[in-house]
Amino acid sequence: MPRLPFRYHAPGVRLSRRDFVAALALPVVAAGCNRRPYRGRDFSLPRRSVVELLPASSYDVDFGDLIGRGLRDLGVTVAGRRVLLKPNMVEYEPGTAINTNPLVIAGAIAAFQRAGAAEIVVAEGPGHRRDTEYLLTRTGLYDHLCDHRVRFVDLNEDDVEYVPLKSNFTGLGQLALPVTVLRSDFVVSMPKLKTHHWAGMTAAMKNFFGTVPGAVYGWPKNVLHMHGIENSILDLNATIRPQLAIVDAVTAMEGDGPIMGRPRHAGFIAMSQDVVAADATCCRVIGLDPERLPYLAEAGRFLGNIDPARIEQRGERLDRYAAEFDVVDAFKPYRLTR
Amino acid sequence: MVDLALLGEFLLRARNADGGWGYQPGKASRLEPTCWTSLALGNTLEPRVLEQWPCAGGLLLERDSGTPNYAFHAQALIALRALNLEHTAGNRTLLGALQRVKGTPLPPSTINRQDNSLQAWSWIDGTFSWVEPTAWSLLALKQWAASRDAVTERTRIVVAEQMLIDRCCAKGGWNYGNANMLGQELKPFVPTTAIALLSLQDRESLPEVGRSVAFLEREATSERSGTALALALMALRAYGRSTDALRQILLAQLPTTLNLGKVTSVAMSLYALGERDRHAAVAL
Repeated sequence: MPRLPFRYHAPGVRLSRRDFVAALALPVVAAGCNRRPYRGRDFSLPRRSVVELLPASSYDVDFGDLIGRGLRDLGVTVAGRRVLLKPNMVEYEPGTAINTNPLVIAGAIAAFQRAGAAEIVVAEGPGHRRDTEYLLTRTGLYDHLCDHRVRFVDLNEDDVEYVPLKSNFTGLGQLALPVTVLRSDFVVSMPKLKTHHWAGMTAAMKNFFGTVPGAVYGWPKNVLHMHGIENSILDLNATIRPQLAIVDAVTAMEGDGPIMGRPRHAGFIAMSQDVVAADATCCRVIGLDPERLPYLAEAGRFLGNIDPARIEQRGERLDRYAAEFDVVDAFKPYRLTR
Repeated sequence: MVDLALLGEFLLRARNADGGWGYQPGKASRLEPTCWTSLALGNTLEPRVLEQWPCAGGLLLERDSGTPNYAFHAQALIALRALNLEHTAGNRTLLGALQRVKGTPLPPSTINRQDNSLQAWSWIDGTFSWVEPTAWSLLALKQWAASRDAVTERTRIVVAEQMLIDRCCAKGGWNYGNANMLGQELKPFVPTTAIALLSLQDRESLPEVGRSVAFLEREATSERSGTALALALMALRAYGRSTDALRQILLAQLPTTLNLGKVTSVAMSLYALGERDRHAAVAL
């Protein structure tokens, strides 16, 4: 295993929260001062990124129709392609907003089936509760998968291949990643929008922690925490290069996320082919400044757009959903000034 | 209701040409599903893949990544003992390697209430001690400590027990790593509690163990997973508690478990329900 280029930052066991958040930013800041840990020619920012904000006042709406509309508006074509839907599944607790709602996942399956996808797979490798049979049955996702005849792949247990990282913020150089992810034609990040006590916010980009195989790296994917949460988010997104984000922000989470926070109604689905722009938009909706969240600020330099001037908002206006989500104290200085 | 023979047939069909089992049929052979399938089916199958499992420095390797996972290494020691098999590197070598590896210590925490100095077992090299790898390793060590030719370090057993007691949730049971975080008490879970209890079945008089058994009796029947139900069944049986209700729920869960094709879950379920050896593999 490569040695750590940065200090060991275990998740919440060594530093105070303020120190921890400050320390998380260090490698990213350091990268900003020196040569960046990726080849510039491998990346180019889109001239313009479209983010759709689609209204969903509750989980009673027809998500197949809604997401299908989003796919058409964004000009997404998946005919004949192998589509991988990566939801966020962590732990089940009734009445909470921890996981991507199964109705949103089922709606996406229906929309991609109508759009002519050759194959659809739902895949997740939870970093917390590794018993996916439990998560699938208790959340109700299992029944939807049966109805749609769609396969579930537990990414913690999938066959793996070592792949070189396209950026190297972590210093790991390579990661073992699941073959189901590597062999998909079209990777869709389907997170639940939540505040996060270590990263500030978790949405489309942070969701890719769930692609790192626990059987190889252990739980809760501690290797990623040790090499910096921010760095890991960047390396995973630079390497996997997801094609689409569909963010479940119908009921989001605020406070001490990603597990112990409180549900908060937000009322929309965000979709974009630029996952960075999707996250930057969600960040602004919940009242945080994406340019001050280290991983989003760095992602905005090479992976996608966070500059509002380069993000075209379609569907509903951002102002309609703008709110100030409660965050842990360490992230209060990161709030937007509206 | 699923006939248990179907589980055995599923496992036999899922076997790879190299003699091992992957987590799903058609996937590369991995240690955890191979251990549990070997326990479920017995050691009558040739070749005895566990005896020749790839190994480096005394640690068994995950086949496609080439790295060790300490929890699964410990499970292999449990299976080798139960099936009376000898790894080509020598079971003593595997046991010695397990005792040499430790979770990374951390300075005292300011944000949760736990003893960070306790070095039990982590999942992989260079990470912090966690409940599951510690519990499987503790169970393996206690089992092997009883054999005549094994050399076990008493201090590793003591520290592992201290770590598990330290991480026990306030109302009993175990979460995955921490019992509390950022001022909030964390929830215990059924599978982690069952594994921890299996490793502490010789310490029933401890109040934390008593609370945890009560948690498991109360909560296990609400699980809907072959893995969780099978582990709970084995743990409650080890403590002499009634498992009749749990057995019926596990039987009812089997169609889902089979449909998902999760080899470890099917194998654990078959082992727990089949009672071929009356759960001797996880007994102390």
